[in-house]
Amino acid sequence: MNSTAPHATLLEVQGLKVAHLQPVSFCLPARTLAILRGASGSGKSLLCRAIIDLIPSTGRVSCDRQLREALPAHRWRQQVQYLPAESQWWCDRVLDHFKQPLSGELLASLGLDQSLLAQDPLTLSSGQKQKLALLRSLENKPRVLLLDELGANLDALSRQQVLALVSHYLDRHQACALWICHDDAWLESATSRFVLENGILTQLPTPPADQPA
Amino acid sequence: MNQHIIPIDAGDLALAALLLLALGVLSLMQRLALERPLAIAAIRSLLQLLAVGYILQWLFDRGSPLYFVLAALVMLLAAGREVNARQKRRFRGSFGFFASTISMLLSSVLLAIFALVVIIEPQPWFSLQYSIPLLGMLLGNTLNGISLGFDRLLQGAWTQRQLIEQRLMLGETAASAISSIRTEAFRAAMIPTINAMAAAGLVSLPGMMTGQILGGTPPMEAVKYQILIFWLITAGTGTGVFCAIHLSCRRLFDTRERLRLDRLR
Repeated sequence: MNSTAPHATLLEVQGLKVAHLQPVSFCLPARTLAILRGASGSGKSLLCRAIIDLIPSTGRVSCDRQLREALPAHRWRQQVQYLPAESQWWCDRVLDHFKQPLSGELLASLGLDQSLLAQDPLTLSSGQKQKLALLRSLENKPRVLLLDELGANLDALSRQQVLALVSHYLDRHQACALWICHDDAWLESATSRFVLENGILTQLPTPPADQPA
Repeated sequence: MNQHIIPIDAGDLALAALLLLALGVLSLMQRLALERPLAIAAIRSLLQLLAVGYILQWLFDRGSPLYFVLAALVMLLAAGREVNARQKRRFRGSFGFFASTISMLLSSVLLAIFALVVIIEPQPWFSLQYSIPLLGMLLGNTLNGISLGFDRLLQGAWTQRQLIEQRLMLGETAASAISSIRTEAFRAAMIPTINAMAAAGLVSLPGMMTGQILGGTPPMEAVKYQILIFWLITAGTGTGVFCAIHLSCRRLFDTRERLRLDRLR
């Protein structure tokens, strides 16, 4: 497994055109965490929805050199998971939203109690919902994670737990993540930063100290 | 059984109309906004039924299958129009009309022909005295079912858009993402039919049977016809609704399994 080059491009977006945004191009290598910033309403969520093919867009988007059009849409979305800022729950119990039983260990790593699983999703706090939505998405074993303001309403400890889980996942599954975030000081392991402003996506220069060994 | 029928005159109908008028006044007072549709529907029922009385008499005097086909076509197209007339959300363009018309053709019309040829066997099979009332009852009930099913499905898709998209984001197929709303729509569409069957005889005497008994048919004959009609109606409504909801669910998504609410208005 380790023979795979660590910087092989995983998510590749070329000239993606959607709504008012200028054509967007960027690449994310495997095992990287990138941050996407931008004012509210600048089109960050729109960009994510276009990448997962939930709204019509033009341009080339590929994951692991496979074009999204080469896969049925639902298979593409299993590989490229988008976690919206507000998760939706439709069954009566939390656990009915999961395909497999969740281990107590995994839940504990996010500071969650197993008793939550039998609860009605309506009784969850927004923080608990965010964490459970992350676990629900990871069940699909995605290669790309688009995380929309994950951690926005979490306390410092919870943020660290979520970041640790995501970082561990990226390493283990050779995946990459684009993390939409307004306040990104706590996302220390991020290797690149993008800003969406006036419909244009630009990559910020990486501070040399941030380069991982 | 005597064949004596008590005739109804215009004055009797006027008395019944007063009751509808009272309902309209209540709607005005309570701001239910029902008075307009109520008035239009009441006037339509009067004119349409009077007209159909004349037309039926005219048709019964003729014996060609061509008239059956002609009558069935008019009824089918009218039903297709009515399904979509009172929806809060409906498909843009003519999709709703075509989907419901095709669904009713495949359910009500085929079933009516099947019942005529195989079960009731009038001579000839298209005998208009049998075929037109039978087709009318099947179409009327299927129309109701499809209309209720569409209403629930399209309203559900509209209000639960975020939920459907969440399920799509989790990698579910379009069919799976809309499955709970689809089930709900099918249930809503079938409830009136199932209620009518379940309550028949205990709570209500079905309209057709009542009509036959008032017209002098022995009760046991009327009952047997009613049972046959109920089962035909349920089968027709079920297949028609299934077909219409199936077509609509497909129309709500495109080939990339995106929810396309822009196809509604």
